[in-house]
Parts: sequence; structure tokens; C-alpha cells
Amino acid sequence: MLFNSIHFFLFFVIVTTVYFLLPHRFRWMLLLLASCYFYMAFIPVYILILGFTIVIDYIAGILLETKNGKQRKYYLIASLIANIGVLAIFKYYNFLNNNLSVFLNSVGYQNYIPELSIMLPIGLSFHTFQAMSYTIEVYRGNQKAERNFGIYALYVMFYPQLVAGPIERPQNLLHQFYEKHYFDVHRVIDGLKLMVWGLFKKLVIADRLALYVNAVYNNPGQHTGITIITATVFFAFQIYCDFSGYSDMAIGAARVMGFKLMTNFNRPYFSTSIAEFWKRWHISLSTWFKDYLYISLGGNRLSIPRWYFNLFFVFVISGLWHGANWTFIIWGALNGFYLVFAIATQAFRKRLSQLIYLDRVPKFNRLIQILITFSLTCFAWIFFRANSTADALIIVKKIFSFSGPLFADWSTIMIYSLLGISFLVLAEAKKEYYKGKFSFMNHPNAFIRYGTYTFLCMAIVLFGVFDGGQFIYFQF
Amino acid sequence: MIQGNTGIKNFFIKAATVFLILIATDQALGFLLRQIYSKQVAGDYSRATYTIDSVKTAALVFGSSRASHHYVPEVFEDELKKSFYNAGRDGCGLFYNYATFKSVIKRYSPQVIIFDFAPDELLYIKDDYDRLASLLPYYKNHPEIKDMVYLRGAFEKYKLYSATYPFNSQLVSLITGKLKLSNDDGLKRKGYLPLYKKMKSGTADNFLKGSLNAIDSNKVKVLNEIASTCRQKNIQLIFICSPIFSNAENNDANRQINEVAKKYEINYWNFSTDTAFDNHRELFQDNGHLNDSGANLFSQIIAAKIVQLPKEKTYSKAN
Repeated sequence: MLFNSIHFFLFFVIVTTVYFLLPHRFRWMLLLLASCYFYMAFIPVYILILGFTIVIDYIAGILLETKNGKQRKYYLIASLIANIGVLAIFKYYNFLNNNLSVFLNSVGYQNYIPELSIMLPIGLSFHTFQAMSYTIEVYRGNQKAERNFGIYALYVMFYPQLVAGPIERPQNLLHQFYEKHYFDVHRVIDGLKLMVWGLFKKLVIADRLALYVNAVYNNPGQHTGITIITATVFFAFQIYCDFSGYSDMAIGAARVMGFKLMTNFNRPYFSTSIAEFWKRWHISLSTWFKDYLYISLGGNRLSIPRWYFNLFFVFVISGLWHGANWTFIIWGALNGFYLVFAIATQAFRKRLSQLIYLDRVPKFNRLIQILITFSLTCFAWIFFRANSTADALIIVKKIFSFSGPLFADWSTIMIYSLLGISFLVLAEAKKEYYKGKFSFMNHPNAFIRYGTYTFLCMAIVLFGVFDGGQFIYFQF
Repeated sequence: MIQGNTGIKNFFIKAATVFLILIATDQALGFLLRQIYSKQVAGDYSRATYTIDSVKTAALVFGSSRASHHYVPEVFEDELKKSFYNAGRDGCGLFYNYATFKSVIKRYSPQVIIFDFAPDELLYIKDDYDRLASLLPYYKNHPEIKDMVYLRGAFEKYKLYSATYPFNSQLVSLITGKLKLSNDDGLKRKGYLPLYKKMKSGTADNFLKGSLNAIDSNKVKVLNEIASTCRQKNIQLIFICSPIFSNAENNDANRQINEVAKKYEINYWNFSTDTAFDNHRELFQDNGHLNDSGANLFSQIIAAKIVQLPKEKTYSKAN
């Protein structure tokens, strides 16, 4: 069930209404049932996979709390292997097998291991990471093991964030299922506003940009450098609006019912460095990798080369998390390289900035830094979006040749795309630099407030793309 | 049981207010857009409206871009001594054409109807369902097209309670069509949209992008309904697969068209691998589209073939 479907709209209205009508003690049951239905609307049988990991992690949680010494470590490892094992089979098996075939062929052997013809369960990487965060936190003693199986299952399956995050931590979410949530008009309206804004970003901007991006990226050899650069910049906004739009809808839907999910995006394209970008982009995943992998590897408490390795390694793994393809691994590696390079050259860049007096014009300096960070991010997006590494290399080669005209056959798509991006940048700039000022959705004047709601809703009806349009992040 | 809740009444008042404002805005905006749509003087919309509401020619061709760019009305009119209109529309497949066919048939019975097909016309292609959006502006006043519109999805009927939704993604085109900013003078050319470029040298792509897809049973049903309707109304129906530069395949979809043609005793002329056009770069703009020279040559061939057909279509009783 897609958030941008009428099916979801009806589901949401019914579930929320019944939620507030039910006594508190029954609400978690309703949410669990609703979450099962939500998940089964994709491919019903895949709920068994989810059920398998839920049972394993539930038992592991209790054992981790009741046992002592080395046994605890074994239970943690067993739980992690079960989770990563499911991920490995469904997401990485064919990728590893194909690469094994390539390797064996290159040394004159044949790979007889068969390929699996299975579809990746929706949002597998998200709920697997959320489940892993539970067992790790119980192991670390930061979270008590959940005894109520239904509540634990709901922690993994809570429908607003089940298939595309935010990837929650047990300390933030589990206790909320025990709290009574009353109907608070301000909170409900805030949640609905967030949902409408998310829907606007998804349907009006992301899906519109996707039309151009897909046309170019599916045939990179046919397009000029300037067209590919345009499509890459469009993709940067597409993926942002797609994913942050989904997050806004997830957070908004949860907020209507009284749940507070973590912030997932914080205007990342206003970042002045790659390090800052990763503090603002997909925050729930970045912090997951920081908390459970980077720090476990020793973080920055080791030698400088080892620290650099840790950073680079975490980003490569993050790339792999996004998809079983070399394009994602290169994307992750590129981001890791950016970060290591930025740290290694920090002192030199500061001196250079002083030398050319950039530090004396802080606003201009900031603008330059934003543009450089955005350009580096866009360059990395090429690998993220390209259908193959071969396509990515064609694209990289082409972007340095500016010859040829801009592909803009669908002038209407171009106009809508540019209008959408301009609107987004203005809205985000307002939030970034003029916090609390020019507030349209929360304006004290009802005309302006209601006018803004109407504008957004009518823009969705008039300019939204309603055909097809899966959320890109579902594939992860 | 609602416990310790605050502002429920307030919420419902606000929600009702927003809902009413939205309905009023939607209806007002939808009305305005409908007015602009009905007064289009250039572009796709003006031609589609003309086909659905006004065309009265003796002969018609339906199809996608391969119809709109391949059939030159003047050539047909000279040869057939009949009025001719090209009702082809870029990007619109069999479902769209069946809907417009039904609107035309509801008003009058042309003497000759040509349906132009791509070789993969009957295969399942999701875009063909999405592109039925082109029919949404006609949904309100043309009940005969509703069954095609509903193919877009289970909730389409409910979405169409909105007066603005039928004009989704059309605002810029509506403005250019109303202000005549577009170069499209198809109405003056009786629906024909000539292409003037010559195909560049290089390898041609395989035309059949969806060839791995299965046959779409909805399309087969529609094809049968077209044939059956023409038979009932004694309309000379001709199926044509117009030329392709190269790499055309004789696939299952093509065989299915042949079967329907045989069943209803319809002429099916497949030019997808015709030697007069195959690999003649000078006659094409791209792999799937003839340029103006190619279109003129092709129109002459087709018109001559139609002239040779018996004037009155007679069907055997077997079918």
C-alpha cells in the first residue's frame, strides 16, 4: 500500500478513527493488525519472513536480559546472524553469486550455484535494522527486553515507518506503545499538515522530476552532457523529495495518533560540508551506522589511518545497504572518500580560505561551500541512480563534454520541474534562514493559513503525478 | 470511548471548513479549466475535441503517433474522392482510440475506418493505461468512454468527483493551446502532423520495447469490439501496421491482430517489414516514424489499395 494512494487514505482514516474510539488497552492490538494488513497489501506471504525475525529477536531479547557472561554475546550474535542472514538471502544472494560467477569465469571455472528468483521483501533493510537496534540496545543494557510479544512485534511493524523508516530505536518508540495518546487537536492538525507537505513533495516534485530523470538515465548514451547534468541535478531533488516526502508522511501519520518518530531529514542541501550533509540526510540511518558500526569499530579513538578506514568502511557498507549493486557500493565509497578527504585537508582548506580572503565574506563563503557540497553530492548521485556501472561511466564521461543541446522535448515537464524545484528551495530556505518568519501553514491569520492548505491540496490535484510512481526507497 | 480528548469539536469544525473550501475551489478551478479546454485552438486537445465532438468525414484513421504522422488526408481525399480526417494522437494506444472511436460512432457511421497498429499493440504496456488520462476531460459529457476511463484504476470513478483532476498536468499545455503558442497546426491539416527530418545514420533500436510482455486480454477484447461494431454498422474497417525502419518482429501480438482480422473478414495490411520502406532511411525520421516524404508515399499506397477494395463491404454469414 503506497502512502500516495486512495487505498492508504481510506486505511489511515479508518485506523485512526478506530484508534481513538478504542480503549487504550486494545489500541496496540489494532495497530498491530493494521500494520499486518498494511504490509500484506504488498506481497502477503512475505509477512512470514518478518514473523521469523520478530520471533528470533523477541526470544533473543529476553535471553540477553536473563543470561550472563559470554552466553549473552552468543545470543546477540545468533540474533544478528538471523537478521543479516535473511537480508543476505533476499537481498545479496544473487549479487554475490553473480560476482562469484564473474570471478570463476575469469580464472577458467564455472559457477554451478543456481540463482534465486525471488523478489526483495518490501522495506526489508529498514525493519531488519530496526530489529537489530533492539537486540543491540538490550545487549548494551540501554533497553529492557520487551515481554509483551505483541508490543515487540508492533515495534518492528509499526505501519507508518515499516517499509521506509525512519529507522527507530527501542528507547524512543517502545515506551510510546504503553502511553495513552489523547486526541489533541493541535497535534492532529500538525500531523496532517506534515502529511500534506510530504505528499506534495512526493507527487508534485519527486514524481514529476522522475519523468525527466528516467528518460535520460535509461538512455544515457543518447543524451548530451548538459542534459545529463540537468537530469543529475533533478535526481538530487527527486530523491530528496521522494524520501523526505515519505518520511514526512510517516512522521505525520504517527503524530496524528500521538506517536513521535525521529526527524529523518533536516534540509540537507543547505549543508556546507559532506560531514554536515550526513548529519542532515537520512538521519535515522546515519546515526544507526554511527551508533552500531562506526563506534563498534573504534570510531575516531584509534590511529588516524584506522579512523579514516573506519569512516570509509562505514560508508561502503552504507552503500551496500542501499542496494546489491556495485553502483551503490561506489556511491558509498565516494561519500566515504569525500569525508576522509575533507578531514585530511581541513587545515589546508582553512588556510586557503584565509589566503583568498573568503573568511572575510562569511555569507559568500557559506554559499560557495553549499554549492561545492551540493555538486559533490550530485556527482555521487550519478552512481546511485545509474542502472549499471557501465552507464555511470558513460555519464561521467559525458558530463565533461558540454556539446549538444539540452533535451527538453517535454517542455511541460521541464516547466513543472523547474517550478517545483524553485518552490521547494524557497520553502526550505525560509525554514533554514527565517525560522518562525513568513509562516504560511501556521500563520495566525486564518485566511493565509487556510489559503496555504488549499494551495497545497489543489497543487497536488493539478500538478501531482498520479500514475505509477513507487517510492524509490521501497527497493531497499 | 474517547478519553481525555481535547478539541474534537474544534477539529471537526476546522476539517469541515477546509473540506468545503477545497470543494468550492476545486469546482471553480475545474469549471475554469474546462472552459479553457473547450476553447483550444491548437495542439493535441483541440484535435482530440474535434475528433470526439465534431468530425463528420467519410473516412477516418485512428491510432497513435504512427497514425498522426503517417496518413496524409489530402492524398486519401484525392484518391478516394471522400473526406478524410486523421484522428491519430501521439502516445495514445488502442484504449484511447477505442474510446474516441465510440464517440464518433455514437454520432455517425463513417464509410471507411482505418486502425493503425504498432506491432506490439496488443501486448500489456502499463503506459497505455496511464495515458488514458487524455480522456479525462471528456468523461463528464461522454458516457460512452467511461468504461475505458475506469481501466485506469479501481478508484478512478471517485477521483473524477473532482472537477480539477481531469485537467491534471495540463495547465501549461492549456495555456499554450489557448494562446496558440504551440506550432501544432494539425487541425488545419485535418489531423495530420508531418515530420520533416531525415533519420540520422546509426543503428536503429529495436522497435518492440514491450515485446517480452504478455498479450493484454483487455486489448484483444477491445479489438474484437471494434471489429464487431464496424460489422454491425457495415463500415469498411481496415487494420494496418504502418512501416518500421528496421528490426520489426512478427510477434504474438501481430498474430493476434491477424486472428481477429480473419475472424471478422477484415483487411489487415502489415507494412512493418515492407521492402518499399524497410531500411529506407530517407523515408523515416526515426525507427518508428515516417517523415513527410515517407508518409506521402505510404498514404498513396494505402489509398490505392482501398480504391481497389469492393465499394460495399459484404460479410459472410459464417461469422
